[in-house]
Amino acid sequence: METKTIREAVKAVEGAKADPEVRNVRRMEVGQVVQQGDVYLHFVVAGHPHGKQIGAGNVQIALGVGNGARHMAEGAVQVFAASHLPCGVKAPMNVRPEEVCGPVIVADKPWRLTHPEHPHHNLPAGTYQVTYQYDPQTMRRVQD
Amino acid sequence: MGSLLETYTEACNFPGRLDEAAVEEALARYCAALKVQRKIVRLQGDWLHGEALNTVTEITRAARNALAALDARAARAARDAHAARAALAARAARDAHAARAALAALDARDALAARDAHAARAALDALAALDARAALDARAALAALDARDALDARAALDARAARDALAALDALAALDALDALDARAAHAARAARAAFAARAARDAHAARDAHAARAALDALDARAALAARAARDARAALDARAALAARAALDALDARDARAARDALAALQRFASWVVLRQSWWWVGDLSYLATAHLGAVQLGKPDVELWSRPVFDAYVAGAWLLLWTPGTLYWVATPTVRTEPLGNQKRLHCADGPALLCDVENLYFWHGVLVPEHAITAPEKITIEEVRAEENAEVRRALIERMTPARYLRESGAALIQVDHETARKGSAPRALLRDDQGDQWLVGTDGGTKRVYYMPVPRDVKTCREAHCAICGFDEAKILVKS
Repeated sequence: METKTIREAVKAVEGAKADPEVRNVRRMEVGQVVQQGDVYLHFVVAGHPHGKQIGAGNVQIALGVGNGARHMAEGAVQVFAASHLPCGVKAPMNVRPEEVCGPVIVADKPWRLTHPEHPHHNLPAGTYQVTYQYDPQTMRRVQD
Repeated sequence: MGSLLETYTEACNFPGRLDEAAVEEALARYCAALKVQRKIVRLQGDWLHGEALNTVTEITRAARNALAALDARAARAARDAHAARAALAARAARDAHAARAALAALDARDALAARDAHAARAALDALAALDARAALDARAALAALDARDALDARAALDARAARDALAALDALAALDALDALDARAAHAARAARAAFAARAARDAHAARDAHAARAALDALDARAALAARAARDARAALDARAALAARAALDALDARDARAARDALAALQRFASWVVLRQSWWWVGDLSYLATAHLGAVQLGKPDVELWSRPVFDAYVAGAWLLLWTPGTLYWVATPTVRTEPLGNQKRLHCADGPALLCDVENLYFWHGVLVPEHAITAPEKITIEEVRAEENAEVRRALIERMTPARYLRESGAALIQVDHETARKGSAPRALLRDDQGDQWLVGTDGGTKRVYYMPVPRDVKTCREAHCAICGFDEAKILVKS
C-alpha cells in the first residue's frame, strides 16, 4: 500500500470495505485463532487445563457490562474458568497472565460466537480458550 | 448493638437520608460535649463568605508567607531542614505514645486549620477506641465502610488532594488580586491584616512541623489503610514541592493587576474547596470514620468517649459527612452522591456525563477512576492539544486523549506515520497504520473487518511495524489468526 501521509493512511483505513457476513469456519487446527473485536479465541487440545465450570449454554465470555462486552458463546457449550494461557500466548511484560486470560470453552457440537455489533462466527466442535487484547498504557486488558 | 451497626452500615450508602435539623441538633450536642461554643452552619451553594472567607484568606496568607520565606537562596536550606525535621520526627515516632502526645500538641497548635485542642483530643479518643481491636463491631463497621460509598468518597478526596497543590497557586494569585482591592480599603484594616499575616507565617512554620510528625506517625502505623494514606500524602507532598519549584510562575501571577479580581474570587473558591476537601486530618473531619468510635465506645463501655461519640454518630446517620472547624463556627457538609463503575470485584469512580462525586462544596469528575477537569466530562470538545501536552500526569493525559478522541488528538498533534500495511487474515483483513504522537506514544489504527468502525489502539512505544504492534497487544503471532470480525 503506497501511502505517504497520515491523512491518506487513516482515509484508507476508514474506507476499508467491511464484511458483515457470518464467518463460517468448518475446521480448525490447534494453535489457530479467530478474532472478534478485542477477543481472541484459540483452538486448543482436548483436555486443555482449566478451572471450575462457570456456565453452560449461552455464556458471556468477556467481562464488562457494556454492549461491547457482549461476546457470547451460544450452543451446547460448557464454559470453565481459566488456569493457564494457551500454548504460544505470552502475557506482556509486567502484566499478570490472568489479566489477559479468558475462559475455556468446551463444545461437543458446532457452536456460535455472537456479538450485537460484530459479525458472528460459526465454529466447529472442540476446545477453545479466550484471551483478551491488552492496553499498554493502562497495563490492563482492554474492556468495553 | 446490632441495630447500631446496621444503622451505621446503612448510613454508609451515600447519599442516604438528610435531616438538617437532626444534624445540627447532634452537632450542638457534640460541641457541648467538647465544651466549646460554635455556630453550626451547613456549607452549601454560595458558601464562601463571612467567616469561611476569612478563614480561607488566613490560610492563603499563611501559604503565601511560607512560600515567600522559601526564596531562591533559602529554598535548598529549607528543604534540608525540613528533611532533618522529618527524620527526627520519624525517630521520635517510634514511641507510639510519644507520637500521639506530639500529635495532640501539634493539633493544638494547628491554628491554620482552626481546629481547637478539644476537638483534637476527641479525635485521639476516637483513635484509641478504634485501636481497641477487641471491639468487633467497630472492626465490622470499618469493613462496612470499606465496602461502601464512604470509601469511594474518600478516594475522590484523596485524588483531589493530590492534584490541588496547583489550586493553592491559583489561590495565591487570587489573594494578590484581592489585596489590590484591599488597597482601597482603610489603612487601619490593612495594618491589622499585616499583623495577622505575620502571625500566620509563624503558624505556617508550625504547620510544616506538624506535617512532618504526621508523616512519621503514618509511617509507624501498621494499618494498611493508614499506610496507603501516607503514600498518598507523600504524593501530595511531592506535588506541593513541585508547586514550590513553580515559584517563577507564581511571581508572574503576582504581577496580575486588579482586573483579575473577579477571576480571583473564583480561584479563591477553588482553594477554599480544597481547604475543606483536602482531608489531611480526616479522622477529625470525616464523620464516616469518626462515627465508628461510637461503636467501639459502646462495646467497651467507655462513657467518657460515648459522651462525644454519640452526637457524632447521630450527626453522621442524619446525613453529615465532613466537619470544618473555625474559631467561631463549625461548618458541616452533607453526604455526597458517589457514582462508580464495577472493575472486577471492585469498583472505581466514574461518570461519563456528570460529576462522579456530587458534593455541596465541590463536584469532582472522574473518568474510569482518573480525576479530570470538569470540561473533560461535560464538554470534551473544549479539550485542546496544548492542554494535553501540558498535563504532567500520564493517566490524566491518557484520559484527556480518550475524551477528545484519539482521532482528533493525532490529527491535531502532528503525529508521524511510522508504517502502513494490510492484515493477512483469510476473512476480515483490512489496511492499518502505525502512528506516533509528539509525546512518543504509538497508536495502531485499524478496523475489525466486520464493521465500519475505526479503532485507535495504544501500542508499545518500541514497536516498528503494524504487525509487531498487534502482536504486542495480543500476546501471540497474528499469523495464527484465521478469520476476524
